[in-house]
Amino acid sequence: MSPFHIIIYVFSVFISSVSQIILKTSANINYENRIKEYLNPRVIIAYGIFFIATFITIYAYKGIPLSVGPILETTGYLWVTLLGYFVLKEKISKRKITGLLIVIIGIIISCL
Amino acid sequence: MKKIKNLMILHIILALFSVSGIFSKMAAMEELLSFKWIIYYAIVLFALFIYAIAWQQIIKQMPIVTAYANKAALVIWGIIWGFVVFKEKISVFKVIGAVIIIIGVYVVVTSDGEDDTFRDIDIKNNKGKGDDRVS
Repeated sequence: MSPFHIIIYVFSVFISSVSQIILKTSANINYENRIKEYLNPRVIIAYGIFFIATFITIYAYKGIPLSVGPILETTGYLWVTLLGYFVLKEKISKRKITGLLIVIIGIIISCL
Repeated sequence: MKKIKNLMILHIILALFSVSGIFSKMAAMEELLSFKWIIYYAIVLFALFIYAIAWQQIIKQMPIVTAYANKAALVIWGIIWGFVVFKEKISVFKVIGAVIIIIGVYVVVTSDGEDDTFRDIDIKNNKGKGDDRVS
Protein backbone atom coordinates (compact mmCIF):
# COMPACT_ATOMS: atom_id res chain seq x y z
CA MET A 1 0.00 0.00 0.00
CA SER A 2 1.52 3.31 -1.03
CA PRO A 3 1.27 6.41 1.22
CA PHE A 4 1.10 8.55 -1.93
CA HIS A 5 -2.06 6.83 -3.12
CA ILE A 6 -3.56 7.03 0.37
CA ILE A 7 -3.08 10.80 0.27
CA ILE A 8 -4.59 10.95 -3.23
CA TYR A 9 -7.63 9.00 -2.05
CA VAL A 10 -8.09 11.23 1.00
CA PHE A 11 -7.76 14.25 -1.30
CA SER A 12 -10.61 12.94 -3.46
CA VAL A 13 -12.75 12.52 -0.34
CA PHE A 14 -11.83 16.06 0.69
CA ILE A 15 -12.86 17.66 -2.59
CA SER A 16 -16.13 15.74 -2.66
CA SER A 17 -16.74 17.11 0.86
CA VAL A 18 -16.10 20.58 -0.57
CA SER A 19 -18.69 19.88 -3.27
CA GLN A 20 -21.13 18.84 -0.57
CA ILE A 21 -20.59 22.10 1.30
CA ILE A 22 -21.13 24.06 -1.94
CA LEU A 23 -24.43 22.18 -2.44
CA LYS A 24 -25.36 23.03 1.09
CA THR A 25 -24.77 26.75 0.57
CA SER A 26 -26.86 26.47 -2.56
CA ALA A 27 -29.71 24.77 -0.69
CA ASN A 28 -29.87 27.72 1.68
CA ILE A 29 -30.60 30.16 -1.13
CA ASN A 30 -34.13 30.76 -2.37
CA TYR A 31 -34.26 30.51 -6.14
CA GLU A 32 -36.88 32.03 -8.41
CA ASN A 33 -37.85 28.72 -9.92
CA ARG A 34 -37.13 24.99 -9.94
CA ILE A 35 -34.82 25.12 -12.92
CA LYS A 36 -32.62 27.75 -11.30
CA GLU A 37 -32.64 25.71 -8.10
CA TYR A 38 -30.91 22.87 -9.92
CA LEU A 39 -29.10 24.67 -12.72
CA ASN A 40 -27.14 27.39 -11.03
CA PRO A 41 -23.36 27.91 -10.89
CA ARG A 42 -23.01 26.44 -7.40
CA VAL A 43 -24.79 23.19 -8.17
CA ILE A 44 -22.95 22.80 -11.48
CA ILE A 45 -19.55 23.49 -9.88
CA ALA A 46 -20.36 21.11 -7.01
CA TYR A 47 -21.23 18.26 -9.34
CA GLY A 48 -18.22 19.08 -11.50
CA ILE A 49 -15.95 18.69 -8.48
CA PHE A 50 -17.72 15.51 -7.50
CA PHE A 51 -17.17 14.11 -10.99
CA ILE A 52 -13.45 14.92 -10.79
CA ALA A 53 -13.35 13.22 -7.38
CA THR A 54 -14.62 9.92 -8.83
CA PHE A 55 -11.83 10.14 -11.39
CA ILE A 56 -9.18 10.73 -8.73
CA THR A 57 -10.58 7.85 -6.65
CA ILE A 58 -9.92 5.43 -9.49
CA TYR A 59 -6.37 6.72 -9.83
CA ALA A 60 -5.83 6.26 -6.08
CA TYR A 61 -7.02 2.65 -6.32
CA LYS A 62 -3.91 1.90 -8.38
CA GLY A 63 -1.96 1.93 -5.14
CA ILE A 64 -4.39 0.87 -2.42
CA PRO A 65 -6.47 -2.27 -1.83
CA LEU A 66 -10.26 -2.10 -2.30
CA SER A 67 -10.76 -2.76 1.42
CA VAL A 68 -8.98 0.49 2.30
CA GLY A 69 -11.13 2.73 0.06
CA PRO A 70 -14.30 2.77 2.19
CA ILE A 71 -12.13 3.13 5.31
CA LEU A 72 -10.50 6.30 3.93
CA GLU A 73 -13.94 7.43 2.78
CA THR A 74 -14.88 7.93 6.43
CA THR A 75 -12.42 10.86 6.62
CA GLY A 76 -15.34 12.66 4.93
CA TYR A 77 -16.99 13.02 8.34
CA LEU A 78 -13.96 15.02 9.44
CA TRP A 79 -13.82 17.19 6.30
CA VAL A 80 -17.53 17.99 6.34
CA THR A 81 -17.33 18.95 10.02
CA LEU A 82 -14.23 21.13 9.53
CA LEU A 83 -15.60 22.80 6.40
CA GLY A 84 -18.91 23.36 8.17
CA TYR A 85 -17.01 25.01 11.00
CA PHE A 86 -14.75 27.25 8.89
CA VAL A 87 -17.02 27.99 5.93
CA LEU A 88 -20.52 27.87 7.36
CA LYS A 89 -19.56 28.89 10.90
CA GLU A 90 -21.30 25.85 12.38
CA LYS A 91 -20.60 24.82 15.93
CA ILE A 92 -18.90 21.53 16.73
CA SER A 93 -20.02 19.70 19.84
CA LYS A 94 -17.62 17.89 22.16
CA ARG A 95 -19.38 14.66 21.36
CA LYS A 96 -18.70 15.12 17.65
CA ILE A 97 -15.01 15.85 18.32
CA THR A 98 -14.83 12.66 20.41
CA GLY A 99 -16.49 10.66 17.62
CA LEU A 100 -14.17 12.08 14.98
CA LEU A 101 -11.11 11.20 17.08
CA ILE A 102 -12.42 7.63 17.42
CA VAL A 103 -12.88 7.46 13.63
CA ILE A 104 -9.33 8.74 13.03
CA ILE A 105 -7.87 6.21 15.47
CA GLY A 106 -9.82 3.47 13.69
CA ILE A 107 -8.52 4.58 10.27
CA ILE A 108 -4.91 4.58 11.52
CA ILE A 109 -5.27 1.11 13.06
CA SER A 110 -6.88 -0.21 9.86
CA CYS A 111 -3.99 1.01 7.76
CA LEU A 112 -1.26 -0.46 9.98
CA MET B 1 -42.06 -4.07 11.63
CA LYS B 2 -41.92 -1.27 9.08
CA LYS B 3 -38.75 -0.04 10.74
CA ILE B 4 -37.04 -3.39 10.25
CA LYS B 5 -38.22 -3.50 6.65
CA ASN B 6 -36.79 -0.03 5.92
CA LEU B 7 -33.55 -0.94 7.62
CA MET B 8 -33.30 -4.05 5.45
CA ILE B 9 -33.98 -1.99 2.32
CA LEU B 10 -31.26 0.45 3.39
CA HIS B 11 -28.76 -2.37 3.79
CA ILE B 12 -29.68 -3.87 0.42
CA ILE B 13 -29.06 -0.43 -1.14
CA LEU B 14 -25.71 -0.14 0.68
CA ALA B 15 -24.66 -3.64 -0.33
CA LEU B 16 -25.49 -2.96 -3.99
CA PHE B 17 -23.71 0.38 -3.86
CA SER B 18 -20.62 -1.22 -2.33
CA VAL B 19 -20.26 -3.21 -5.57
CA SER B 20 -19.38 0.04 -7.36
CA GLY B 21 -16.09 -0.01 -5.41
CA ILE B 22 -15.19 -3.28 -7.16
CA PHE B 23 -15.58 -1.53 -10.51
CA SER B 24 -13.53 1.48 -9.36
CA LYS B 25 -10.73 -0.90 -8.45
CA MET B 26 -11.12 -2.84 -11.72
CA ALA B 27 -10.93 0.44 -13.67
CA ALA B 28 -7.78 1.30 -11.74
CA MET B 29 -6.17 -1.88 -13.05
CA GLU B 30 -6.87 -0.92 -16.68
CA GLU B 31 -5.16 1.66 -18.82
CA LEU B 32 -6.71 5.11 -18.52
CA LEU B 33 -9.47 5.69 -21.11
CA SER B 34 -9.10 2.21 -22.59
CA PHE B 35 -12.33 0.46 -23.59
CA LYS B 36 -12.52 -1.58 -20.38
CA TRP B 37 -11.66 1.45 -18.29
CA ILE B 38 -14.55 3.43 -19.83
CA ILE B 39 -17.00 0.55 -19.28
CA TYR B 40 -16.01 0.16 -15.62
CA TYR B 41 -16.10 3.90 -15.02
CA ALA B 42 -19.54 4.15 -16.63
CA ILE B 43 -20.77 1.42 -14.27
CA VAL B 44 -19.35 3.37 -11.30
CA LEU B 45 -21.10 6.58 -12.35
CA PHE B 46 -24.35 4.75 -13.03
CA ALA B 47 -24.20 3.10 -9.59
CA LEU B 48 -23.57 6.48 -7.93
CA PHE B 49 -26.54 7.96 -9.77
CA ILE B 50 -28.92 5.15 -8.77
CA TYR B 51 -27.58 5.20 -5.23
CA ALA B 52 -28.14 8.97 -4.89
CA ILE B 53 -31.79 8.53 -5.86
CA ALA B 54 -32.31 5.48 -3.63
CA TRP B 55 -30.64 7.25 -0.69
CA GLN B 56 -32.95 10.25 -1.02
CA GLN B 57 -35.95 7.98 -0.97
CA ILE B 58 -34.82 5.90 2.00
CA ILE B 59 -33.95 8.88 4.20
CA LYS B 60 -37.56 9.99 3.93
CA GLN B 61 -38.51 6.71 5.61
CA MET B 62 -36.21 6.82 8.62
CA PRO B 63 -34.34 9.23 10.87
CA ILE B 64 -31.32 10.57 9.02
CA VAL B 65 -29.08 9.60 11.94
CA THR B 66 -30.09 5.95 11.54
CA ALA B 67 -29.29 6.07 7.83
CA TYR B 68 -25.88 7.69 8.35
CA ALA B 69 -24.96 5.34 11.20
CA ASN B 70 -25.84 2.26 9.14
CA LYS B 71 -23.89 3.62 6.21
CA ALA B 72 -20.73 2.68 8.07
CA ALA B 73 -21.51 -0.88 6.92
CA LEU B 74 -19.77 0.14 3.67
CA VAL B 75 -16.48 -0.29 5.53
CA ILE B 76 -17.33 -3.96 6.15
CA TRP B 77 -18.40 -4.46 2.53
CA GLY B 78 -15.08 -3.05 1.33
CA ILE B 79 -13.22 -5.64 3.38
CA ILE B 80 -15.48 -8.46 2.16
CA TRP B 81 -15.24 -7.54 -1.55
CA GLY B 82 -11.50 -6.98 -1.25
CA PHE B 83 -11.14 -10.49 0.12
CA VAL B 84 -13.60 -12.22 -2.24
CA VAL B 85 -12.79 -10.46 -5.52
CA PHE B 86 -9.18 -9.35 -5.17
CA LYS B 87 -7.86 -11.90 -2.65
CA GLU B 88 -6.83 -9.15 -0.26
CA LYS B 89 -5.74 -10.21 3.20
CA ILE B 90 -8.00 -9.52 6.14
CA SER B 91 -5.68 -8.54 8.96
CA VAL B 92 -6.65 -8.34 12.61
CA PHE B 93 -5.75 -4.63 12.57
CA LYS B 94 -8.10 -3.99 9.68
CA VAL B 95 -11.03 -5.65 11.42
CA ILE B 96 -10.36 -3.95 14.76
CA GLY B 97 -9.88 -0.62 12.97
CA ALA B 98 -13.17 -1.08 11.09
CA VAL B 99 -15.06 -1.77 14.31
CA ILE B 100 -13.53 1.34 15.93
CA ILE B 101 -14.47 3.43 12.86
CA ILE B 102 -18.08 2.21 13.04
CA ILE B 103 -18.26 3.13 16.73
CA GLY B 104 -16.76 6.54 15.93
CA VAL B 105 -19.25 7.16 13.11
CA TYR B 106 -22.09 6.27 15.49
CA VAL B 107 -20.81 8.82 18.04
CA VAL B 108 -20.43 11.47 15.31
CA VAL B 109 -23.88 11.08 13.78
CA THR B 110 -25.67 10.85 17.12
CA SER B 111 -24.05 14.13 18.18
CA ASP B 112 -26.61 15.89 15.97
CA GLY B 113 -29.03 18.04 17.81
CA GLU B 114 -26.05 19.40 19.71
CA ASP B 115 -24.93 20.89 16.41
CA ASP B 116 -26.32 20.79 12.92
CA THR B 117 -23.75 19.73 10.36
CA PHE B 118 -25.44 16.55 9.26
CA ARG B 119 -29.01 17.73 9.81
CA ASP B 120 -28.53 20.40 7.16
CA ILE B 121 -27.22 17.84 4.73
CA ASP B 122 -30.43 15.97 5.39
CA ILE B 123 -32.43 19.03 4.35
CA LYS B 124 -30.30 19.35 1.26
CA ASN B 125 -30.83 15.71 0.35
CA ASN B 126 -34.56 16.05 0.74
CA LYS B 127 -34.47 18.87 -1.72
CA GLY B 128 -33.11 16.32 -4.11
CA LYS B 129 -29.81 17.94 -4.86
CA GLY B 130 -27.59 15.89 -2.70
CA ASP B 131 -24.39 14.15 -3.23
CA ASP B 132 -24.06 12.04 -0.15
CA ARG B 133 -20.59 10.75 -0.48
CA VAL B 134 -19.68 11.65 3.02
CA SER B 135 -23.05 11.33 4.42
